[in-house]
Amino acid sequence: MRINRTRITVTALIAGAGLFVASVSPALADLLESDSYVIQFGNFNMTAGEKSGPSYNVTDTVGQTGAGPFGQYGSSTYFVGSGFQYIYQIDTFSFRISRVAIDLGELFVGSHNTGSHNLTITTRGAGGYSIYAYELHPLRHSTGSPNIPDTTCDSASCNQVTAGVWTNQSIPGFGFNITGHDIPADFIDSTYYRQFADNSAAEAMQKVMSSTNIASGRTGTVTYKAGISGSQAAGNYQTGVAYVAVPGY
Amino acid sequence: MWPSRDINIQSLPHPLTKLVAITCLALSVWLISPPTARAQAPSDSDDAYDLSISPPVTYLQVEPGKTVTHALTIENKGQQTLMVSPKIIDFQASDSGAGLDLQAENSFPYLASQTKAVLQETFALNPGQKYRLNLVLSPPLEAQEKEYHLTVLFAAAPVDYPRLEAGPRISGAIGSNLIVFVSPQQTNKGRLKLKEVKAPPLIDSLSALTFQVLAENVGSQATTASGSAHVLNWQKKTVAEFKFFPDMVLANSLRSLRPSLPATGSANPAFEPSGESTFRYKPLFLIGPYTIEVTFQSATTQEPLVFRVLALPFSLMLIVVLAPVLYFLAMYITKLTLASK
Repeated sequence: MRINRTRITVTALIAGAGLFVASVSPALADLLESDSYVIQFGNFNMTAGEKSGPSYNVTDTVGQTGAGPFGQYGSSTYFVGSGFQYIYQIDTFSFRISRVAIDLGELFVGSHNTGSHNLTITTRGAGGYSIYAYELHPLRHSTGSPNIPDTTCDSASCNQVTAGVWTNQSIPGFGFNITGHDIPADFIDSTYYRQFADNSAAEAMQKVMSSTNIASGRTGTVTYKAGISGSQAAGNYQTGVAYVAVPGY
Repeated sequence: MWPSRDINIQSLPHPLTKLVAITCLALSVWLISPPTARAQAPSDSDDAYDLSISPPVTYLQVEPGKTVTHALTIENKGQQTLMVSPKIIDFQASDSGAGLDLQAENSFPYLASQTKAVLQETFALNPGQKYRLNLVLSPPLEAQEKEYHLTVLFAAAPVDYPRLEAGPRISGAIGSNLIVFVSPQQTNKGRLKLKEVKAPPLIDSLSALTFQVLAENVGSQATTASGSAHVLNWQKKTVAEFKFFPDMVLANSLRSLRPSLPATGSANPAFEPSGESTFRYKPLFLIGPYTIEVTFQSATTQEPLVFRVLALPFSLMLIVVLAPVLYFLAMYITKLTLASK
């Protein structure tokens, strides 16, 4: 009886140990080497990456030995990115303009011509971003005819800081509307226009998109509009518009 | 399963059939590929201008008498060759958040001569090409301790623009922020101070308790916001705890702090993430005096700044007052109606 009980106990222990050995995952460590280096005790963490839900975004690294970026990426003579969060130092800030030439066509009295493109920002930085805009000068005719003035909108109330409704096609001028993400609040809808800040008149460039949060493909659609008055020649008017995109901090 | 996986080329009898099969395979791969991968962007449409820069923000400390090299990489991900001009300008922190106001000048006096020369040059950046700009910073031994807030701007314009009847030609610039602290000492010299708690003194019991926390860095170096804001009820019991999001507050600057998620284990079932820089506590019913206590976790911690808010059931009181008035009004109208009949 006692022998049987001992046998059963030993058998159970051996079986349990066997099951334990079989079930335990192998250690995720490796010797990393090439002709020029050897990394001893290199290990892979248990889990790492970006997680998100309806109300949160989080990055994590679990099980990493000595997690963290060591050194300053791009500046130090060394940089070790152990643990997932090192991505914050090697991240990029991207700015995309979908078209670089906005053709408004030939301008005639009594009608407005429009054209549009998209501005897109992507940055992981928690400080967000800002996009500023300005024009080199008001729309200028190739033959030296008077400039098309920057619009003052239907009720002569808009400028480079404040938008106003501009739908009356008999009112000439040049201006822009923006719709989409992170735009100024005064662009209530697609009928609201502003002037560009005029660099030739030393006006300070103005924000057209900004956010203090992480931005992933945040897009604004800029619509340009121009119309001429009876005192201006029909034809070809041009200027340059510049956008300046900077990350937050 | 995709149809292309069912095609076994080796089993097909004729070379021509093989060719057809390969063509079908290629076509099926092309068809299932994302549309953007096969779009042929013309020069005046999508992807005309696409720049990225890395790293977006860098905090550097440089000891006087030493030299530090900071590398920035800019990449042209668009379809056109761009002419790029780098320059360095100052920025000022805006009061309300992480926004910044770009300045016209560059006040950093310790750029090495080779860096100054590089900043005078314009270079071409072809589609897919990267350019690495090395900024060499070398403050002399006698340099004064100071933090500089700089933006490295790369202004870029296409080499060739499409022909226009009329309208604007577009150019762009992309920036990377560089915060440089010139100091011989390695200890952090940031000193956070609570500037203001913005909250209404009186609120309705059915509304939310919202407030904003404005911090000021009175030290000489940028530092991370660290600490929390507690909301206590009339029993001095903490009903909500908000950890500050670890935003950077630059030297001699203000910043509206943001709430992070509530602390683990905090009695905060009514926490509502509100985004931006507003802290928001919304239980079913607020009543009595509430206290907001703000504390920073740093060596220069000051006493918690306390702000009091009184919650009263104004909307319910209004209903209690209005109900008899409305009742008597209704009765009066009814009486008038009956009398007229």
